[in-house]
Amino acid sequence: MDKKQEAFLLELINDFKIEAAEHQQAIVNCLLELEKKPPSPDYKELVETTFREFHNLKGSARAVNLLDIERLCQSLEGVFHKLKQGSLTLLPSSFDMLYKANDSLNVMLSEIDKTHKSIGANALTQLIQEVETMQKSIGITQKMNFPTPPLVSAANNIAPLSVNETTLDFNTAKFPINETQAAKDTVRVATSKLDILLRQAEEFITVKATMAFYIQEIKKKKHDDLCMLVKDMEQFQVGLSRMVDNLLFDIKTTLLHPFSSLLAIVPKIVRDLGKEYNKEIQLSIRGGEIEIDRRILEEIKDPLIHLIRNCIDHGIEIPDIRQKKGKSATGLIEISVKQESGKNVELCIHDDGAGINKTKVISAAVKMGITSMEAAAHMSDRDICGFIFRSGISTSQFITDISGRGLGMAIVADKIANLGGTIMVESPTDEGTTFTITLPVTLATFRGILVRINESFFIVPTNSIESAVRVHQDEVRSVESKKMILMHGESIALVRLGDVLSVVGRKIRNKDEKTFPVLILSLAQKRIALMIDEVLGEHEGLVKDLGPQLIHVRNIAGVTVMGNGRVVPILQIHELMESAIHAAEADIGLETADEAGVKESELLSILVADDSITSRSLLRDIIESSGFLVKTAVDGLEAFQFLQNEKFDLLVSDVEMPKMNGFELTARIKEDTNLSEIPVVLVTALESADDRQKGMDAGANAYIIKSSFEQSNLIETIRRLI
Amino acid sequence: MNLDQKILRARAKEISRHKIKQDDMAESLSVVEFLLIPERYGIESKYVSEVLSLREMTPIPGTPAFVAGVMNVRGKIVSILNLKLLFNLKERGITELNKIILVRMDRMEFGIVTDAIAGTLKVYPNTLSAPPANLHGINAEYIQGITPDGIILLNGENLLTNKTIIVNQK
Repeated sequence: MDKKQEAFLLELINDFKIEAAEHQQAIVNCLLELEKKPPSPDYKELVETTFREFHNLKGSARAVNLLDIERLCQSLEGVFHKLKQGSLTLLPSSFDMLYKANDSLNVMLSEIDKTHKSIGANALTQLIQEVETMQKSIGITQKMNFPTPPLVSAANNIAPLSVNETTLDFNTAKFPINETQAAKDTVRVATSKLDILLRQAEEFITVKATMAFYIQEIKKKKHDDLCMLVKDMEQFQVGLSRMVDNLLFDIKTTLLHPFSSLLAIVPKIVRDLGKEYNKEIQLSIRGGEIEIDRRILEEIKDPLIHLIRNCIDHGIEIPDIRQKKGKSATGLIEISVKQESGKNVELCIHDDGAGINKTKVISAAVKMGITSMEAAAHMSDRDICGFIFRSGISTSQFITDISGRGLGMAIVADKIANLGGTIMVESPTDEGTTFTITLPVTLATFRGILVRINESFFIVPTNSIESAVRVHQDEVRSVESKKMILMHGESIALVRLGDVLSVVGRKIRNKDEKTFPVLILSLAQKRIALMIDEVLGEHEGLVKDLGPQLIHVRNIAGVTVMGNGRVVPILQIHELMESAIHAAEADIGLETADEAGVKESELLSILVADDSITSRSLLRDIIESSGFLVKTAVDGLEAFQFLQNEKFDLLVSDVEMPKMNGFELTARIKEDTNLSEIPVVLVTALESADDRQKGMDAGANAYIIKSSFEQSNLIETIRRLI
Repeated sequence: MNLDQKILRARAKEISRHKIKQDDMAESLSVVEFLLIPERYGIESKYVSEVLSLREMTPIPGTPAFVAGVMNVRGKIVSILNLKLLFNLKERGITELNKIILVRMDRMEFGIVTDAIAGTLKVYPNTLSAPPANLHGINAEYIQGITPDGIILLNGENLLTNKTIIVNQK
């Protein structure tokens, strides 16, 4: 019963959070409108709405027992109650107080779940006192010379309450109509629920791929009876693919969100920053109704804030300078959203400030060694502006990282590229700066190239790959201690992907090959060559995160599930490039790799059969580290097949395995004339005299109990037998 | 009339018996017992969402050693932890480690590799004894106590809310 109540309260609080966020946004919007000069014609209505928003928020907070929030709302509601009555008016300074109180309210709302609150009881009481003092002081000083009490004339002071109440009724009458109209054709669904639906629908992409994989596998069998079946299945697969694509498309459309939900935060940011930098700014937003994938909106939030901060900090000049230049003292920031085509949306952020200082950009770029003065002289303005997306430049005086989020322009470009979008910048001298961001309407399914390193597989995002080439080892040059290859006249650092990621496992390399595959990656005009073992083809799928315990693993963007069910890590190119630069410092040792290749052929090879993946890799590590070559099989049957096709010097096998157990496997090996000489070591958890006898009867050469097992014990046994 | 009273009395008895049973239940913890050779461990079943066989696991390069890898659980990716490495226990021989217990609390979820799942049992908190000081150096906050038959009962909440387990290399 207690638990039920707890769960119920939790659900209530979650609902409250959603509701509170909506009230918050409405309040901020109203405050911004109220602050406008000259006073908005809707002044009275705005005061009324704000009052109602605080009032409702207060009521909801009380319902879920959030008393601090209730108290603060109450005092703010009081201010608006007085404004409503006309016994109080707003001064420019009162807005700062209101924003401050509202910001604190926001903080409290965001910390509902946290045990540690950044606004303590004392701070809250003080804040509430400040709000209440404001009510009184402004009330007294302003009451006398109140210029035009909004709508209600001073003569009505005798019965202000009744007048206000009638207008209140009049105003409230409008809201329910809007609400019921909206309620008719929309349903409120928590986005978390929609996300679950989307995730489930996206899962079908894997179903699609799995189906295709199985059809390919069946085709390999070339059995007459299967032919017809395969044809039917192929037809079915085409139909299934279409259904899956349609379903996904429709669900993604459901998840589209108007840009206004993101742009709603902008007026507040512009206001706060304008105050901070003493700049007067007029903001114009167009196209907020255009819809886009909610996940893209979330991802684009930080880049947008960063660009706006740049506009205000570096773009728009202070009023004095603007006037000297013959511009209006008030700067202009225009944000516009346009539907470019069915699939793309264009987001423009323009300011009419000083523009990008090209001389500074060029000198920074030259200092970084990205270009030379001579080369820059021939460059177009657009190319020069493009340098600001290079990560080194963002640390120069031109773009300081004022956002404090560590989000330089290079990362802005990277984030947008990850969403499948592009960013361009134009800045004609003294005409301001325009950033044009093109974004896909829905998040595209992800494409990448599957590569192998030793026995591990990785996916490299296709959009970061410039080309895939084979490089002959003679083409590799050493510049200082670094390895380089020459591509189209440019020297590119060569690193082994396995070294960057410290991939362990058995090396599978053909020692006769003098060439090896290399991927040339490029990101924000930086290039690097990655040496890999094999390219296995392109993969389409979903990026999945690594679960809540692995929030962020360096160089890894997530994983994807292949058609055959294998989970493969996807590389994070931005970080990989940084890691690669460090790895490039170290010698990649092509020569030693070759020596190892020759040695491999002389090693004794051992087959390990175990159905437990952990045991299998553990056994392999132990045996391999003692200088043997190891191949693994997942059950007795597979082990037997390997034994028939390849030569092994010894078998280490588990006893309990599906399909064919260790006893059966041993018996079959000993019966086979070609294999009977191979020594068999049974390694098992079974610890009974009976089983030991069974093993001996089957013809095993050694029997080791896992739980009493010491590493040296196994290696010693292996060495004794071969 | 008499019959009605009888029925009512019987019901009252029945209800009160249920109540006693429920009270008993409330005091005991339902625990999933698992084997991590050579030790027997337990974790309260309220933290256990599922028990799975480990078929395929993908190691993620760059993660701490106690992260064995990730696996796909019906479309959801979960990381798998090796408690022996997390607790700095010595590897004793080759173990099976092919059964997974998925544990979760709030938004945190991960798998624990085990050698075998022994089943569930009821544990009365008042019978738990404090872990001996020489318990292989396992961080004490991960342990709730030792049951009378020697099962090391993990502290699910501390395990699932411990910030040092979370990997965030940003």
